[in-house]
Amino acid sequence: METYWTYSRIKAIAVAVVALVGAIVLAYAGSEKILTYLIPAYIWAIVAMGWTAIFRTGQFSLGQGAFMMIGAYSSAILTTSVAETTQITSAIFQLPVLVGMLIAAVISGVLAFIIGAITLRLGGIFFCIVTLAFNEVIRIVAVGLPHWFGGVNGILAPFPGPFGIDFQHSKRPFYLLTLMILVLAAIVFWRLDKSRIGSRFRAVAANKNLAEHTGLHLAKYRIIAFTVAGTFAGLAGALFGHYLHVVTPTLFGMAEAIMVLIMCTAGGTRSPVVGATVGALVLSPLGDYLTSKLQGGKLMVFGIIVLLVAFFLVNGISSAPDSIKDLIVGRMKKVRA
Amino acid sequence: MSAPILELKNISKHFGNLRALDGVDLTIEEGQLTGLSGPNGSGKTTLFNVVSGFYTPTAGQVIFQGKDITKLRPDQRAAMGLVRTFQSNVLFNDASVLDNVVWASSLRSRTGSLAAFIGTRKHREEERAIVAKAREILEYWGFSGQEKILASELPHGDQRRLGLAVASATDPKLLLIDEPVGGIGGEERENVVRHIKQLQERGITMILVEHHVKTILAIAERFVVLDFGRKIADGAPLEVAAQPNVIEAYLGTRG
Amino acid sequence: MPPLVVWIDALIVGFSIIMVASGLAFVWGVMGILNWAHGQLYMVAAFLVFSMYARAGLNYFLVLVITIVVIGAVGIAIERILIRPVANKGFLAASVVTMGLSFALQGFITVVYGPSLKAVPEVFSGKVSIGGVFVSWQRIVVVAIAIVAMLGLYYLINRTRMGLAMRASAQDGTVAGLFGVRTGRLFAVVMFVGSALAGLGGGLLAPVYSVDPTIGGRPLTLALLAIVLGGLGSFKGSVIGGLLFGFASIMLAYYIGTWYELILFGIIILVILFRPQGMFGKAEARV
Repeated sequence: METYWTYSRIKAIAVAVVALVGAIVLAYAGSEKILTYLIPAYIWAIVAMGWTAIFRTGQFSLGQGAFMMIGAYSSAILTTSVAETTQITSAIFQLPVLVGMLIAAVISGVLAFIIGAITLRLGGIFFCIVTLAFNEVIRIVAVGLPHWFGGVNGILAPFPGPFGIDFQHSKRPFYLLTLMILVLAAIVFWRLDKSRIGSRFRAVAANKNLAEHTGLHLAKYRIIAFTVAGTFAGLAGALFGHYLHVVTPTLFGMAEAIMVLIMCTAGGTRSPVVGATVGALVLSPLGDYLTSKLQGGKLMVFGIIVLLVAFFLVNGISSAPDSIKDLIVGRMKKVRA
Repeated sequence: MSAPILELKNISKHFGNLRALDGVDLTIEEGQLTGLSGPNGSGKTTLFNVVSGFYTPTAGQVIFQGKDITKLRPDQRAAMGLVRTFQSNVLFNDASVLDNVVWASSLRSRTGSLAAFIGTRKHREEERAIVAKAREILEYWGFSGQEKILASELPHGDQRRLGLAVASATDPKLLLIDEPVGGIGGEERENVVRHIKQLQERGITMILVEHHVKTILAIAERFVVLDFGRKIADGAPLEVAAQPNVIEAYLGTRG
Repeated sequence: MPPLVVWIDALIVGFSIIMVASGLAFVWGVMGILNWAHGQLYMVAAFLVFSMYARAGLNYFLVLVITIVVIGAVGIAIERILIRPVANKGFLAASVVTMGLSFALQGFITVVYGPSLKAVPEVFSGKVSIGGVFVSWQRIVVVAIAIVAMLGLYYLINRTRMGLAMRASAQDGTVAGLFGVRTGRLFAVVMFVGSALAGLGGGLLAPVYSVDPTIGGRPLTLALLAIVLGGLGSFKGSVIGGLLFGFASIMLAYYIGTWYELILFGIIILVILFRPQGMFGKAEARV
């Protein structure tokens, strides 16, 4: 009989608990500066987990940036008040921010489902290219309908204000909100992966012909992953929009879509949650720091880091301890033989 | 006489100018073990691809248990009991031996995806049953104690055998086996042949694509030969093997 | 019937897309790798022309030749240093590497030149009247050189022994070795030519359009769409796809106005959905 509480399981739970406690402590003890680095990192982690899920069904999506845009714009439109904007005819809802974000997530999810249903039966490079084109489409629509989407200047996305908590003068409440959503996303993606759905994802990715011929409807599983990822990307985009206080057409696009991919590959795709989080937590603050120091520096360093990771760490940063171990053991074997 | 389990009516498959299959008619009775052979390029694998749903035929119909399945996807056909094995890329390579069988057992699940996500009790019980059944299947096929080994690390012959085990996990009614003893010889081959015979005893109808004519003569009740996408022979194995056009097809292209 | 000037614009846009698309499709078809940094090669070429022609004042044709050679060499370096080590680790690994390179190149150019727009002055001033319309010489030269380049590529692929090996390799990677051309050298030539084409595109269009570090992204997306339209795996397809794409862009822009891109992308997506092999691509592209 196998025990439930294996050593590695206990270790994993312990790490997760420590990380969570640490993150919560930072909400109160950390400086505002640290929070400015962490909030975007957490948001990217949410998107990255979604990308990893899609990747684990054997596809890669270059469209997560587009879903972030959909979420950001939806939430902004739903929550922006007429007083803050002038010509936007869609600013009629004025819903509370949290409600707006939730609806934005649903809208993203529905669109992801529709797009997935249409394009995922193609698979492979076609899907990739279509998701890339989708980024452009969203940008075109955003710029082309200024009365709906605020044109080039975008739409103001108000600060959240549930229960009278002040989100405007301190970043701490927003940090906690983001953290909560990150934890939610982690639970959802982890659960998806551990369940039978996750094993079917793996089957579809490992050998799609065999999977299909043993009764798995390929498109169904790809669509599940894509829809859940799209929902969370939308939620993440909405969060980011309210964090930045304004949503513009160039906020998320092809570059961001590729960045998410880079975060996941650098962080590692063996785990549904860990790699994406590590990748985002390392690369996002690094990128922000570099942008503040050097124009274009962020892109350059991102690029170089990716190259280094691709060469030396086959499975990403999160498996670095294993990779380094293998490297050392490998060296030692050579010496002995 | 019960209705045939599979009927192929005038199946053609063209790739541009290449006629991989040209007007093939075939009727398979339930419980029969049919050998399918022919020289390289004769269309054997293409025929399997059409029957399993991997290719849509350019013309013709595929009728399974009286229903026209020509437009159905492979997973839908598998759900009806029509399953095939592959000649190359046979397994889920990066997965363990046990996982290979478990993953192929999806047709045994009744609980839906939502139940799977939440992890309801019924679902968990079902999953346990599937894993237990998978272990039974592995034992039957001779893989006890090898559960945790990665499929890609198995020797070639074992991989083939596992491929058959995986296919049997779907509880097929009609099994299309693509080169079951390709690349394996001697005792290993006899082992696989024995297992195939046992599957037949369980009532599973089978079509075997096999180059090795002796194997077909040993176990098949019927022998179909293709050449250049057309059926050139169909009948009792010994008779077909002696037919002059069959011998010529083999000698002509294989020398 | 749109006026002649629109047709000529369409030709130019079409050829600029072909420059990038054919190089990308060529490398992809023969070697099976999608170089995501291809668009950045176009961009770097534009900056090289800016530095050598606009700043240093060297002869334009000389600058063009140098640029092509440099970018071609960069292409070879990319294949040797970056792609070959990860070639057997799958499409994702090769893609990640070239995407990383794409970022690195754009970042590097931004650091060196700054993010602002640069202008490269027209090389061939003056206009000529064709059918009553004034067309600038600059644009005529672009189209002319592009046509020559395409003919050269056609010749290479269809009339040389190396071209035969390339076509064979596009069908099946292992076969190429049988033609007596060492695969290593073959790949070097392919990378050189493919990249040089992107470089030629960037160099030719620098005086026509503006130059800044972000101009590499769009050509890549458009090239990918053009390749899909023309059909994956077909060189003829990428050329015709590129031309068609260019024409469609301009025509739609003329008739529909602001929303033309949306319609264009929509059409491409429909094509992908209903005929994934595009116009001339390999049939049964079941991925």
